[in-house]
Amino acid sequence: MSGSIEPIVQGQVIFDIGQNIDKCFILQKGSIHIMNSKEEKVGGIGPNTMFGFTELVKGKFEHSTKAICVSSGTVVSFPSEIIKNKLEVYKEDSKSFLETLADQVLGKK
Amino acid sequence: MSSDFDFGNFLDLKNQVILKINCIKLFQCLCNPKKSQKDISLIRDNILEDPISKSFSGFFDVILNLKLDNKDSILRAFPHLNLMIKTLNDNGEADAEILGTKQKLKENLSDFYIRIMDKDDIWVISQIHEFLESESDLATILTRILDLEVSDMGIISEVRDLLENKNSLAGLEALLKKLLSDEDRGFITGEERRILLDRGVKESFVNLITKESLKDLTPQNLLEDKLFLISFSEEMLNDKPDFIEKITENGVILTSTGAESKDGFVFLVLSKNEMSNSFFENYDQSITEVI
Repeated sequence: MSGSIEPIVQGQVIFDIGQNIDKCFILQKGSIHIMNSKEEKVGGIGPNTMFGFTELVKGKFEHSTKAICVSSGTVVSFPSEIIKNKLEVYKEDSKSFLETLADQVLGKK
Repeated sequence: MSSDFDFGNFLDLKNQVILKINCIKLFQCLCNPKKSQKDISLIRDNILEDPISKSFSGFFDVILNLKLDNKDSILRAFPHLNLMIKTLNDNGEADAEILGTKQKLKENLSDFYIRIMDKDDIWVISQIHEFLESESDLATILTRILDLEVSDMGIISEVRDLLENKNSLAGLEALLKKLLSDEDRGFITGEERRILLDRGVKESFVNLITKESLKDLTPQNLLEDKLFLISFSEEMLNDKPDFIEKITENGVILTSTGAESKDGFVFLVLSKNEMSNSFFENYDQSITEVI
């Protein structure tokens, strides 16, 4: 389960609402906007930031947001299994804390 | 051999800086592998022990298989190193290493050009230009020339001479254009493509026509002979088993593809003569003239 380097271009949808979370990403170059179902921006991703994994923390396996590239660059992608495996070892209180953070990131609280 | 993607180590920029600098050093050494044997072994080992490099199996395997007595393994390493150097973030901490290496490579470019003996040397130069300037036009043109699988020493020498010229980019662009027009493989380009598009053939069909299929035709044939589109299903071959035979007797099949409907086919055919025109116009309603 290794990483891949992928170019991204302006306007490219990295993932969309309802898609299975197969891969997670680290933005290396460029910028990305995270949009909700009303096409409102709920977050911006800058270089050296991991994204596309937040729902996994909530125990969900589909994206509830859309990631769109607003300036071209590069992402490093890796299988979401790696995050799922890491999350499995967390204890309940840690999970609860992470879920609260995930809600904030997804704009639900 | 590689382990899972280690995103913790990857997100630590210090680790990215270390790997990036090692990749730059290895790139520079591989440009002169005979002079840098000791250094190459040391840097190669550092990269293989790096926690990040293990996270990229393609890159890791190429470095693992890098052997100084195996030219192919050296040639394979260049694009992987370029991609890593371009991708890894460093907050400017690798700038000095990049600038120093670029300076040294630029100073030695003319030596690299003079030493061109074969297509592998051109490959190395294209990778050096890609390192000097990401997505460099010169690197792209050199790679496209190599994609044509040139092995003729005359062409290799021409590339060498053009690289040594002041306006190397324009010269190499012209050479590529000439090589593409002489190329008898691949899909049609230029004049032949334009003629068919002007005649109303859908671009999706034109994109499928190979140079091989036009080898016995002149531009005049393409311009003036009647074109027919034949759309038929497998069932039709039961009724008219000699259908395809009759088509090839009367025309030249420029391309064939699957139809949108299941079990269907579409042929684009250039009629051979007046008698063939009459055949296509009357034989079956599945045949329509492209106007």
